[in-house]
Order: sequence, then structure tokens, then C-alpha cells
Amino acid sequence: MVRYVVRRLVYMVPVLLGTTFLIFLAVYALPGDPVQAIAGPGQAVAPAVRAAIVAKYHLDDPLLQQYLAYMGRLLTGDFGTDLNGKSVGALIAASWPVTVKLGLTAWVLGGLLGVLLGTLAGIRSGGFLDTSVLAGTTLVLGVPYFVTAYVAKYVFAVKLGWLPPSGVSDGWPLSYVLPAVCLAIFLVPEIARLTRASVLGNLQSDYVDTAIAKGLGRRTIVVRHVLRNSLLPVVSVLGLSLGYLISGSVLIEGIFNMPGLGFAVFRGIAQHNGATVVGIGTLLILVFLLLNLLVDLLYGILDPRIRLV
Amino acid sequence: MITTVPRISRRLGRRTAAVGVLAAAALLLASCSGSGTDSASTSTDPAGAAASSTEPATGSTSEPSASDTSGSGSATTGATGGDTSAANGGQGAPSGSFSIGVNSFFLTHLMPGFSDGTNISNALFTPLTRYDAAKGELVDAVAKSIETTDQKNWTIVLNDGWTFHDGEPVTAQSFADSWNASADPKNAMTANSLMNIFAGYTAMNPAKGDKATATTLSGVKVVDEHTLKVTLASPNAFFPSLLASSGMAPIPPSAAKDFAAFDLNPIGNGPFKVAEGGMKAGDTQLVLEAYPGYAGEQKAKVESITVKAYQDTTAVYTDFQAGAIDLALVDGNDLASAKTEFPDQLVDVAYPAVVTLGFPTWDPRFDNPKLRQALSMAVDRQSIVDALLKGNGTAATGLAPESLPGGGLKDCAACTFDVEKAKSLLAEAGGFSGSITLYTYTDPTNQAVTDAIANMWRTNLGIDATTETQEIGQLYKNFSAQSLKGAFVVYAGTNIPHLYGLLNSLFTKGSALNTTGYSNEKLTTLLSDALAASSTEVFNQKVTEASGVAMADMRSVPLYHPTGALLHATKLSGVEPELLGGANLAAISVTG
Amino acid sequence: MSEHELSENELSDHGLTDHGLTDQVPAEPLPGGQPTGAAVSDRDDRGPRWAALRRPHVYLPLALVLLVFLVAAFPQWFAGWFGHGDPRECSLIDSNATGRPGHPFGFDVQGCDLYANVVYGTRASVLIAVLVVASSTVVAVVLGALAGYFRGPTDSVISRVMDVFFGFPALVGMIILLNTIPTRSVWTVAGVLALFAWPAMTRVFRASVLETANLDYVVAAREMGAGHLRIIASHVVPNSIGPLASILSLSIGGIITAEAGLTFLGVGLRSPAISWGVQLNTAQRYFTTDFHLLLFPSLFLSVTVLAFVLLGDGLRDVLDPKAK
Repeated sequence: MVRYVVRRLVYMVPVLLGTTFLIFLAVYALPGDPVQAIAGPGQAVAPAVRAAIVAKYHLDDPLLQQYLAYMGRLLTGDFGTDLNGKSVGALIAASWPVTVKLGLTAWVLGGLLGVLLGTLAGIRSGGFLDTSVLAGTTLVLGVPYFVTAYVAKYVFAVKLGWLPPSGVSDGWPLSYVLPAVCLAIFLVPEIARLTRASVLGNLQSDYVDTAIAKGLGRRTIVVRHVLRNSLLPVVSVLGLSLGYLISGSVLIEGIFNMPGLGFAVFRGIAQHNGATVVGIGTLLILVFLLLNLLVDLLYGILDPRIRLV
Repeated sequence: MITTVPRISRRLGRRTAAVGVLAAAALLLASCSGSGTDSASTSTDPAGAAASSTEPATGSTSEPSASDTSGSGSATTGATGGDTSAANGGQGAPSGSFSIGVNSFFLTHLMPGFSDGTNISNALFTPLTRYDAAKGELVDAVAKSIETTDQKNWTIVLNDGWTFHDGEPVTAQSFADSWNASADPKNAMTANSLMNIFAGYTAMNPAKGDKATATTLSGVKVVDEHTLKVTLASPNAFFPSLLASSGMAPIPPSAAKDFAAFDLNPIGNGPFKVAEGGMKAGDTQLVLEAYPGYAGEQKAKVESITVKAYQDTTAVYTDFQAGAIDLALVDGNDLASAKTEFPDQLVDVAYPAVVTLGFPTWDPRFDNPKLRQALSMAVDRQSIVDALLKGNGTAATGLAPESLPGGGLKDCAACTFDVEKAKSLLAEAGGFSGSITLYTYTDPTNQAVTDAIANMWRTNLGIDATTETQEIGQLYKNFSAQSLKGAFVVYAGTNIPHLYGLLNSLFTKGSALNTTGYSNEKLTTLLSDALAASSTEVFNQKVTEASGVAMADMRSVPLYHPTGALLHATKLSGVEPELLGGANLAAISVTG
Repeated sequence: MSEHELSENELSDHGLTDHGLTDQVPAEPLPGGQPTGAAVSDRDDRGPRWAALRRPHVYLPLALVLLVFLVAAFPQWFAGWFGHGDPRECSLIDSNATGRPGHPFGFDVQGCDLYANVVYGTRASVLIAVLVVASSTVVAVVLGALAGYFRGPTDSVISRVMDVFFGFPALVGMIILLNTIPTRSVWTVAGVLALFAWPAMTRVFRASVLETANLDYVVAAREMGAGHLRIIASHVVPNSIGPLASILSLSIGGIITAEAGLTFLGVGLRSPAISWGVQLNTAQRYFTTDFHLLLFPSLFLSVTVLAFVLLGDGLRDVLDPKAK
């Protein structure tokens, strides 16, 4: 187990290096001029000012040199400063909680709802509930998220006034409910479908027949055996989807004006703030990889037949 | 979503125009307060701190001052135009609070060197002079007197009693410190280019490759605690107006320790101070509190203002609808909605700006005035204003809107919508081969406008036209490289409240907003003659003539003049715009 | 796998196979009498009521999908039904007007016939989806087969590269990449979407190859001395394609909405390109006042996605041999 974890962690190093380099390369390749981006388009920038900015941020260094210098600083925990002279580390520290709260809320909401709907659909397969779950989740897949988000915001915040329309000033949970629901909506179809398939498969397996033959009650069979076995594949998807949710927050945080990581990274791209984009990107990747590992470990715990080597 | 572009683009004119400098301030001031082209036009303030036009956008159809009074209300001081605002000072203690939604870049920087002309920086800092939107004229603020005999050497005497928010006195040194910090390229401040009016700027900011020979501005000398002697790089009668920019505001001695920290938590001398703690990384809101020790005339009328920053400006309007903010600047589609939903809560704002259609004459196909005229005349400007802008703008007949002094001319012959004439001009020009790409930057309104123009060219002239959007930085890079292979629609604003400002930034060599790379000896001469003019009449006449030259050449033809509005909760009164639409925060009071 | 020890690669397959909604059944049941975690196949056909529902679930969506393809290929056949088939014939006078005879859906912001535009919009949206799915399928089959069949270092390298793309926050990556591309066409948008779509498919395919490669007849063919290429092409790929095929149509639905999403973020297609994404993005700014702008493209998009998803569900039963 420990050996397994260590090996997985070691494998992460090349992956992390590869991804950060890719982001670095992409940000470097962004068209436009970072110096001009700070000053604002169409603004005169004195040559001396330009020289000072270029020197300060090493903008003229070769890409590889910039990358190595950046990674060197990163190893010491220094995320650097963005082109506005603000500390990226402080920005991440401030934005991180917002995204985590949003992501976790959406994750729990989406996961619970998905498993619930999927289980019900699976148990009552072919019934009205099953058909409606199928139809409902498919419909959700067919509406772009921004449409959902704007409509939800208009209805629940502007028209009904139940929830704050944007920002995080009302704190958790009030400020997070609406965006989290909008984010969670896209998790539900996948989880529901997966759970349904999984429950169905288990219901039809031999051990259920055995249990029925033994005279166990239907409820007992479903809760004790079927659900437990059915959740195994769901766990792995749920684990990975937390990563997706956090990256998907780019959209939702923008629409709901929430100062999280996604919000920061989008602004970073718009302003050519390489340090912000690379810093947050690296962090998101790291989280994703760790979650991946965690899921696999959890999988091993849930399913005793899998031994991690 | 996430359209920071429109607001940023709106800033285009502001700082750049300050680069090219103008000696006509005195004339201008005279023309504004006295014999302005339009009684309601009240703007003045080249440096962009606080100028405004209180005339409503649709000036021709409504009483010049109607919106003004409805906006300011009778409860407050402002619009009635009393001689001084002494009444303000005499008012009781500030009471109440409200919140305002702004574009997130308003809170990116707060100190003078980095942040110039936003209404937030105007609330935090007060420079030597100030533009009084209500009275429509430049007034002394920290300055007691600003004197010169040759427009080049100036003596500035400061008022007593001004203090920073920490109680430190505001001295002559505070201004010198601020200007020197901005002028120092090592600090990489955005206000750097504002400092090029001072003698000694080039020694600090030499041309590329040369070494700096000075670290402070030789043209700025502190005589004593209350006296500054300033030498400019060249005579500039606009100087008192330029001083009204918040980029020219003073900083306390403590700022120099760490500009980055000061930028987040500045100690200013304005009517409002930053609440305990200032901005922290990742913050999207800032609380401003009334500064009781403010020595200026226009003291804060409310206890505190919560400033909320928005990345996605469409969220601002929905937040207002939901009651989460009390004040916002709206335009475009949101303004159209607001006009039906909140008709009595709008204060119109006419931007000192124009949206133009530019032609790439470096492409030989466009190097034909008849073709350019045909293309321009095939555009139905009024339909664009009515259908796409929902009436929030005026179709252009000249370069500057009527609300801008010197503007409202009807010298753009190519601005008339006349399909038949356009067709025959196109035929005279020998037709057009190939298709036209019409460029703009990523901005929803601009994109809709370019699509409409392409449709009009296709329908009215049978020219195949298509549109393309580029990131704004990329587009301007392509302008300076003259590498664009098509026509383009861009916004241009000015911080000089006169037609002169737009002409100067759009049509003179070296201006960053001269997107077409235009230069015309005659126009340049007329503009410099204007600056040397002995009277307002001659000044206006020269500028008008210069405008005629630019319009006749049709390198860049005006399309429309956009307008916006300040949308405010019913509990606010005294809402009045500054230049470029931000609300003058100190003038607002809360009732009920 | 039969040694019930999973290396990290196999383990990931476990999770990600399921993630791909496939019905992975291990070749051999594991000791203990219980089904493996992955033995949760979606054997819909056993429930009689479900089976009854399933028939139209295959044929109805199939017909709809064919119709969508037809509209995408020949929009001119459909756009003119109400007499105004030119999507670029616009007049600002009609800007945002609602439906009237000859213009059942009304007009868009530019005053163009909305029905014709929505019909023409099918092309870009469907084309992008097909391009993305086709190209990433090719990549998935080639890389998945190599990794799953040869295993060892080949597998390690391919898997690590996949990890890089998996770990990369896809949306952030797409925004950055599309920002670096000056002009955005159907091709560039499709290319960038494909760049982030192939790893998921490759993972699914690799997982089923891993399994197929151990099947008796493949082992037999290898022992009989057949060439690797031949075995992969004639035995491994055909027998592993099921799970992948069944997620393809699901992916098409996802990519159509993703295209709309990119446009919304300002990095996708832009007008004058006609696509549902462009239409929805414009409509989003007007939806409180001009709801028809949002309604009709949404409706077309939803129905199309629905058709593909349902077809995917149906196809899974047909194509996946193990689900029989």
C-alpha cells in the first residue's frame, strides 16, 4: 500500500512537469503584448517603463529559462507576482476557499441527487420514474450551462428574490446555493445514469437471486447488498468529477461573480498574467491528480478484492 | 460574459489624450463657462478626473437640464449651480450608506500612480484642482492659487488645513513625491505618461537604449511647505486642468516604503477613506468611509459606500434588479431594460466619445475616397442606434457629439444614409472586387454593429462582407503594424472636453488612437494654429476647419456617439456623472 | 487481473471504464462468488418493461439523428420551408421581432429570419461534434490498442501523456489555446475540443483492449505466430470497440453543448459564423425581453443532444457484445 502510494506520487512528477510546461507554453504563446496589457490597449507606454517591466518580469528571457526559473521559485512555495505586482500566492490563498466551498457543495448536491435518482430509477426500472429520470437528465445535458445559470439567476434571485444574485458576501450556504446547484446539475445525469446501470446490473446478478431464495426482504437486499456493490463504480466517477467541478467553476464563478480560482484564472488569461494562470493551473492539476489517487485508494478499501501493489 | 472590454476600451481615450498636450485650456474654459456651443454642455477637464456633461444623451429632444435636475434632485446641492458649494460644507454629519457596482479594474489599483480617473480614486484622493460637475467648471481644490505668466513656469500655492486620512498634512512635498514616483520608470506606474508634461521627464525616461540621467523631475521644485514651482517641458495653458486628474493627486511620505502595499490600502486626502484593512488579495469589494477631516468643499454625505467589483458586467444589472447594489453605470441592452423597468432612476451620461468606421488605406483597394464614401453612405446609422443600441446613442453627423463643446457639427457628408448615392459612388469608384472583412474587438455591442454593417453592405451595395473579432490588444497591435486586411469599427474617447480632443487623438501622427495611421499637414497645422489662437472664436473656428479636413478625407468616419446612464436606487439623490460616466460619489446622499 | 492484483494502470481502468459508462465485465469472475466491482453491466434487456421501451429508444432517436445529419448537410432543403430561406437576408427594422407568417420563429437581433438561422446553425454545431468525435476516436483506437496490447513501457508512456491531458483543467486549457489562435473556424474549435476529448476515449478503449488481449483466442492466435498488427486489426480492435462505440453518441451530445459554451466564454465560433452556440450566446443577453431568441436554438440543440444520447443508450445494447 505504502509502496503503491509512493509510486503513484513519483509518477505525478513527470505529469505535473508536463502539464505546467504546457500551460506555460500556451500562456507564452498568447497573442498580444503583456506590457501593453498592463497599461491598457491603446495606451502609450514609455520605452523606459517598458524596459523596467520587461526586466522585472524577465519577459525577454527564453521560454525555457523563464519556465525553469518559475519552477525553481515554485519549489520554494513562491507563486511569484502577477503583472500588476500582486502576489499570486496571496490571490490563491484568498480564492481557494471560495472554489472549494462551491465545488464541494455542488459535488455533494449532485452526488446525492444523482445516486438517489439513479437508485430509484434502477429499482423501478422501466417504470414512470425511470423514464422521467432518463428524460430529465438527458434534457439537462442538452441545455448549455450558461443558459441554465442565467435563467436560474433571473428566476430565483431577481424575480423571486430568494437568493443573492451574485458574489459571496452572504457567505455559505446562502451565496453558494444557486451557483452550486447550477454546477451540480451537470453532474446529476452522469451519476444518475451510472448508478442506475450499476443497480440494475446488481439486481440481476446471481447473489441477489440467492438472497431472494434465502427469503431476505427486498429492502434489505437493496440497501445491504445491491446499493453497496453498486456504489463502487459511482465512487470512482464521483471522485474524478470533483476535479471537473473545480475546473468547471471557471464558468459559474464568472456568471455569479464569485472571487474564486476560476474567476482569477479567467481574468489572468484576459490580462496575460502568466504567473496567475500557471500558478492556479498547476494547483488544479495537482488537486486532480491527488483526487485520482485518493479515489483509487478508496476503491481498494471499498473493494477488498483489489490489492494495491 | 466577462466583458471587461467595453469599459477598458472606454478608457482608451482618457490617458492617451493627455499625452498630446494642448495649450488651449484657458480658451476652453472660457468657451465652456461662457459662450459654449450649447448652454447645457458643461464639460471641462482635459485630464479626465471628473469632467462630465450633464446634458442628456438625446439632447435635442429634451430640455437641456431636465435630466440633470431630476438626477440631482432638489435635496442636494449640486445642479442648481450656486456660486460655491459652501452649503455642502455646512451640511450635517454624513449619514446612511449605499453600495455601488463597478468593473473589477476599478479596484485593481487604488493609488494615484496606477489608478487614474476612476470614480473610486476620485473619492480617495483630491488633487490640486477639481472639476465641479454641477457647476461645470474647474475649481481649485488643494491649490489656493496656480499662477503663470508664460504658461511654462508655474507657481502653485497650497491651501492650509488639508490632511491625509492618517492626519499627516498635505504639503508641496506630497505632490512632488507623487509625481516623481509616477515618473520613475522603475515603478512602472501607468500614470508615467501623464508626467511627460514636466521638464526633466525625458531625463528620467530616455528613449530606448539610452541611460536615465535623473531620478527626479527637474521641473518640480518644492519651495516651502505650501509652495511648488513647476517648469513644464513646453508651454501648456491646459496645466491647471491636467492637475485635476487623480493621477496627479498627492501621496503621504509613508507610501514610498512599499508602493504595492500602499496601492492596496492607500492613505489619501479625498472625501472618503479606505476602511480598515484596505483591499486584500482576491477581495472583490472595498468599503469607503467618510473622512471627517476632509478639507475640501464637497464633503462626503454618506457614512460609507460599499464598492463591489464585477468581472462580468451583465451581473451588475441583475444585481441592481435584485436590490444587491444601489448604483451602477449601465449601457447597451441593460440600459434598454432599465428604461422600461426603472425609468425614474436613471441619470443620462453622454460619453465624450465616438464609434468610428476606419478604413485600411494601406490596402490599395481602400485607397479611393469614392469607395470609402460609398461604404460609409450605405450604412444606416439611425437604424443601428434604434435597433441595436435601443436608442442609447446618437447617429453621428460629425466627429464629436453635440454634448461635447465644439461638437455636434454636421460636417460628415459621408454620414448620410443614401443607398442610391452610395451605389453610384461605388460604380464611379469602379466597384469593389473580393470581399470585405470588418474587424472589431470582442465586445457584444461592437460585434452586433459590425454584423449589421456587413449586412448593409451586402444588401445595399452587393459587396460580400464578413466580420471578425480580435482581442483588443491584438487589434491595436495590428493597427500600429498596419497589417489589418479590412475595415474596422472602434471606440474612441477623449479626456479633453472639446472636439479638439477627439480630432487630436484620432487624426494626428503618433497618437495611439490614430488607428488608420492618418496624417495630414493641413489638419496638423490647423490644430496647432488653434492652440495658438488669441480668442475662443478663432480657436473654435480652427478646430472646426480641422474637423472638416478629417471628415473630407474619410479615413475614419464617425458612426455614432454612445451614451450610458447611471442607474440608482430611489433612496439616492445627488447622482451626477463624472467624465466617462462614473458617479461623483461625494455628491450622493441617502434619503429615507 | 486474475491474480487480483491491480497495478496502478489497471486500477485506473477500473474507475475510468465505469466512468465511460461502459459495461466492463472481467473475463473471469473473481473468487468469492460475488461479481466484481465492474460487473455492473447495464443489462437493460432483462427487464421486460424496459425492453418494451427500448425499441423506440433505438429507432426513434436513430431517425432523429439521421434527420439532424440531413439538415446539417443540406440546410437549404429545410430553411426555405416558410419562404425565407436565406439566413443572411436581414433588415434591422425587424430586429428581435417575434414570429409572423413566413417567419414562424421571428427574427434575431440583426433582423434575420430566426428559423433559417437555426436551421443553418445545425451545420456548424453538428460538424464540430462529428469532427471531434471522429478524430478522437481514431486517436483513441490507435493509442488504446497500442497501450492495451503491448502494455509495458508503451503503455506507461501513453498513460502518462493521457494523465497530462486528464489532469489539465480542460476548460482552462481550451480558453488559453483558443486565445492563442487568431481566427476561429469550425476546424480550430473542433481541433481544440478534440485535443481534450481523446484521452477519455483512449482510456475506455485501452481498458477493453487490456481485457480482450487476454481472451483465449487472442492468446491462441499469438501462440500460432500471427503478427501483432494482424492480431490487433482483426481480433483485438473489433472485439474491444463495443464500449467505445456506445459512448460516442453520448460524446456528440456533450460536444455540441461544449461548442456553445466556448462561444459564450468568447473563445468559440463568432458571428458571422452561424451556429447554435453563437445564437444562444447572443440570445442570453436578451432573454428577459426577447425570449424567442433563446427558445428556438435551445430547443433544436436539446432535441439533437437528446437524440444522440438516446441513440447511444440504444446502440450500447446492440453494439456491446457483452451486454447481450
